[in-house]
Amino acid sequence: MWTFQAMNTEVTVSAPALGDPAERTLAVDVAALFEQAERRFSRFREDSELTQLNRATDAITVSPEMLEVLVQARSHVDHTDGVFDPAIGAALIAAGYDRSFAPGALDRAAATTAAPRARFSDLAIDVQHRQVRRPPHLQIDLGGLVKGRTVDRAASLAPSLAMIDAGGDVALRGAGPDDAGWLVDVEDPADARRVLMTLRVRGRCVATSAPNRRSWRTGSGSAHHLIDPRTGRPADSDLAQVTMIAPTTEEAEVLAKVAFVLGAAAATHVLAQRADVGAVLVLRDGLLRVVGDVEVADA
Amino acid sequence: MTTDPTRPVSPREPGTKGPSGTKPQLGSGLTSMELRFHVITVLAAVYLVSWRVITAGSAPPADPPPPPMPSAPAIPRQDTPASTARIDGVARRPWYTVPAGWHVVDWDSVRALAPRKLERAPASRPVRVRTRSS
Repeated sequence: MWTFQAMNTEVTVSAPALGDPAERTLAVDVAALFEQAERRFSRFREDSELTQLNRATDAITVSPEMLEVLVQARSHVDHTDGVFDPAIGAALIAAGYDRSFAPGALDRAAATTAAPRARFSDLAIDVQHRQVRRPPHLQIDLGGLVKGRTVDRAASLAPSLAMIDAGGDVALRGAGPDDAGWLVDVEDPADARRVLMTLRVRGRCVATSAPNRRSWRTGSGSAHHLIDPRTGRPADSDLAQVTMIAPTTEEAEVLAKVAFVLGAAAATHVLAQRADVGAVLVLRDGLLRVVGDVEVADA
Repeated sequence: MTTDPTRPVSPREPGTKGPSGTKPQLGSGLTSMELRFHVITVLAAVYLVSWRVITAGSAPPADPPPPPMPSAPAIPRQDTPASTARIDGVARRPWYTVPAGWHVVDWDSVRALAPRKLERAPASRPVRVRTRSS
């Protein structure tokens, strides 16, 4: 098992059936994928293509890779009725997330402000000519979406038994080292040392949305990174954490965010319509709710 | 014609030969060699003045002169003399033509191609996932 740092988190690569040299080679290739993605899509890098797009005052021509992500993002926006929306960059900055996160680095005495409402659908995308025109008030944040997609791309490089874990966005190929399913410990959002339950996951992907690890203090109180696109402010539902299991990491990432923003009741309703997903909802009052296709490991 | 060695030497009359072996003198009192020297000197002076006049009145050059070297000290490699510097340590615009089909790669992007630092997880670390939002 190998680890490296990317996208401000630890990435773990494990392929138990491979020998050491081959597993290391896989880790090197996965690291290169993350490096390429970060160079293009990080909003914290001055030289990234996303930063150029977020600063463009006129239509610009984007790379095929950027176009692909923007088109896919638009599809997610459409399918979630805007509950998932990457046009939250300005809202994140207004909430205080204006630099790469580190514990305490975003704390400030000033109260947060609200950013002008921005919709990803306001982005004009000319697919044929790869041209994108951005309204001045619209800032794009592709962090979670790109991380999920990169995990999926990394998993495509891996053998049939492998784990690619990027800070909680996880692709689990095969049925685990002992063929009984990969073990997934659901962390207690109130106490990171505790595990609420353990799941078994086979050939699927996991993503978790919770404010506990990326929150900071402001003059207005506390803030976190899970923005509700409908209000432009950190989401304030009855959920403390959502762990989503889906066929791809990208889907798990998107659905986890949507569920967190919607709250327990609406999330349960949405998830019940999908046979291929499952979720563990941790409510703020301490209750646990398991929804859909989830296998819980014996205690 | 013989000469009297005791006779004082008077200025030579034009057209007459001086002491045997010398070149004939011209009306200005200069030898032909001296005259050639003076002519060449005058011509060189005329050329120099003309060139300065021409260059002073001409349009500015198409390419500006290179900027002066920065005052910050260069950082020499250990295996090179102290008077040299690494090209990537010199803060000035490079004065070369990029061949067709080539492009200049900035140093940051080259550095970024270096692989991330991989670390081997301890063998005792269990292969299981811990959910977290990041």
